[in-house]
Amino acid sequence: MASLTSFIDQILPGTPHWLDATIAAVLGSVIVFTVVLTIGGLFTFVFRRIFARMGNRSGPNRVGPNGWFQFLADGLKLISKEDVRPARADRLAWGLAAYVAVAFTVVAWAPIPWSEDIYFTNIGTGVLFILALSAVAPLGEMLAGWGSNNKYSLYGGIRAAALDVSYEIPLLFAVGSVILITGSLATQDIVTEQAGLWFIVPQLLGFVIFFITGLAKAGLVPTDLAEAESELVAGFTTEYSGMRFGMLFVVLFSNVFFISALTTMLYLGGWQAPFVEWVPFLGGFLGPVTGLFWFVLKAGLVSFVVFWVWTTLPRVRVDQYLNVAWKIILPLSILNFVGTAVMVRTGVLG
Amino acid sequence: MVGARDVRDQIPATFDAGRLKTVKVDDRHLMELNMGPQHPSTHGVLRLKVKLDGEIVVDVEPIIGYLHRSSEKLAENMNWVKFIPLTDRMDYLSAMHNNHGYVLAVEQLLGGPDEQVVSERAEHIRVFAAEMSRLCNHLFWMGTFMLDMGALTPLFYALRERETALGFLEELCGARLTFNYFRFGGVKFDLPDDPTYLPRVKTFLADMPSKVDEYQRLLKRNDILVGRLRGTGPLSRDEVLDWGITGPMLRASGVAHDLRKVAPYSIYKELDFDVPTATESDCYGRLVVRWAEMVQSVRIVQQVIDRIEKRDLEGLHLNPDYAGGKILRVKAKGEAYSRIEHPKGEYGCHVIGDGKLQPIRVKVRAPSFANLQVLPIMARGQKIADLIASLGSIDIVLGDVDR
Repeated sequence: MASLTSFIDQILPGTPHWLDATIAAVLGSVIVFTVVLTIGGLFTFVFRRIFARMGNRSGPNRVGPNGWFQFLADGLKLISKEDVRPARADRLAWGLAAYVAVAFTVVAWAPIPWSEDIYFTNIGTGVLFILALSAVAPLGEMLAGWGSNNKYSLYGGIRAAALDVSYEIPLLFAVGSVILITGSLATQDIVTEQAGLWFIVPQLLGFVIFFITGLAKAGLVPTDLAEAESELVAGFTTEYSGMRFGMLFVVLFSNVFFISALTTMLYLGGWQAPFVEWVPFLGGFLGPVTGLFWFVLKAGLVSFVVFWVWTTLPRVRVDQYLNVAWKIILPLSILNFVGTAVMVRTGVLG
Repeated sequence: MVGARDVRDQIPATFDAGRLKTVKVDDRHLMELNMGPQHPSTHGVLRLKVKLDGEIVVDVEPIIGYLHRSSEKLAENMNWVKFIPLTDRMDYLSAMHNNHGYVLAVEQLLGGPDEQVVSERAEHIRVFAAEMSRLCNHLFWMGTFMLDMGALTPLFYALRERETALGFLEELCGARLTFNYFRFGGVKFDLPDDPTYLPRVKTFLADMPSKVDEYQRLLKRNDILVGRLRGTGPLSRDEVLDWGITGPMLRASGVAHDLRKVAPYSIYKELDFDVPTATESDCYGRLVVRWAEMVQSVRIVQQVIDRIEKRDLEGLHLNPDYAGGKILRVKAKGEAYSRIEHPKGEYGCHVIGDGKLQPIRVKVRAPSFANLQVLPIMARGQKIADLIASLGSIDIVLGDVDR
């Protein structure tokens, strides 16, 4: 998939380049969309199973082998539900919100490198692209909050905005530190730079900051304030039902994997195999999909930690998370950024 | 955020009468939010009319009555004994205590001063059932309170123990929630014939303090949780006394008041247990007090089992005067008030009879109802999340509030 356009050019010789590019774009979008939503759907099941095991229960285990088709059954159920629109909702904002939330989340996946050869695009500004899109994503939550004509939704939307503003800056500083070391914004370059030494070692502080802010950005426990079930019913998703709700739900869960994939890409060596200097076997035992295997394994482990946190921790209060974001995490992230810059300049790193 | 600071400034830092008044702010900034009657954290069909200034709660007014089933009125049209199942459905999480309060009141009418209505054996079984029920209530409270805080898993830790305890109660009386177990003159069934019953209960009880330790290890050391609970929903000693708050909420504010000690009923006078208190006066204190009460309940049940096993207790589990069909022909005359230490606070039952088959008035002083009134005092000036925490820390059951 390294270059979908040239691949299509090979199987459709003679077509003009613009047609190849268009087909590639459409095909690529469909693939990204399918992969993201499948992962999101699967994760709704995985989360329920992990949550159940954490609470000494079995979880869903009836549909399909060990319950693995549960998410399909849930999806079918949601599709068959009535799509209720609140009578006084702002039709445009309310309707648009679900698409905005889904679209930006899905598009942000494009530059994620699944392995050395498997990626949808490797634009030179990949990280910037991801950060820009993830910064726009809360727009959907705000639209939903405003358009639903529901006070719980409104509170959820406002909280989403506050959360986004306060955690965006430390997140950028944490990612910026990594970019200082690599000197490149391209996602593949960041992964290849980590051969031998994963960035979690020199960037431990940055890793912690990125993980915490990533949880907040994705709206996950302990900072799921925009949904805050026990306070705001369902936050900005309160007035959504049927498959509209299903989309928001799937996006939430695909965000778990997205944050894990970003963490893996930036700090855990991406698709690079571990200990490959001593055990070269690990680097190629599955042939062309070895990188994919390692990437999914690492991201899966990080996702497990996210779910673990989700099932374990209570929710922080609004003022508490703002305090932590502005008074602790932001100064630390700036310190980390400056420290990294000094180390890169003096030649210790990079 | 200017409005937010205004509210903050007008709320006295110390507890005084000023807190009883509604905080005056410019009403144009305020948003009125109807929380409930359908809301995940109102523990049933409670409606809270909340006035909000951003995230800050300016005022809150609990509106009740959505689960009103006029139980007290129904009592006037049924035989004395037939009201017992209805008490189950008031506070359905600690039904044994509701039974106990009502039965104690009626027994005051039935027995003369020198006539022993309830045998010693029945009293022991009653305390056994009541304290197991208290354990179940506190366990379930802990789980749902943690749900209010956004922590999902503690509920299942709590239910793990509660299931076992409910299993024992089921063997005792056949029900797991609405027990309908107490009768005038004793209890409906004797202890199970199964010789392994009491040993099994003892094994469970011996394990229970370590389980409480486990909860404390998991929750006390959780900085997020402690940060959320400390200073949340504060109630000073004076405030709880002024508002007639009882139960763990009273004890969490440093008042060692427990009817089992202060006005002992049943056999509590002969049992050895402590009244745990806390000085925190906030949600955290209420959590700590209830943990300690779980351990004390375990101690009480252990002593009761020892006494049942060691001593050949006299009497039957049910007074023969009230056994079988005779229970339906109970006639009582006079007026009586009983009060017991319910897991949620002081439970009082006032009965009046005129010597007929039915009471002419039954009034229940429900602890949930009395404790709920203090919610505005706890929540004013705090955040929405704190309002939920404060409400959860009261431990209400809407069946008990509305009756």
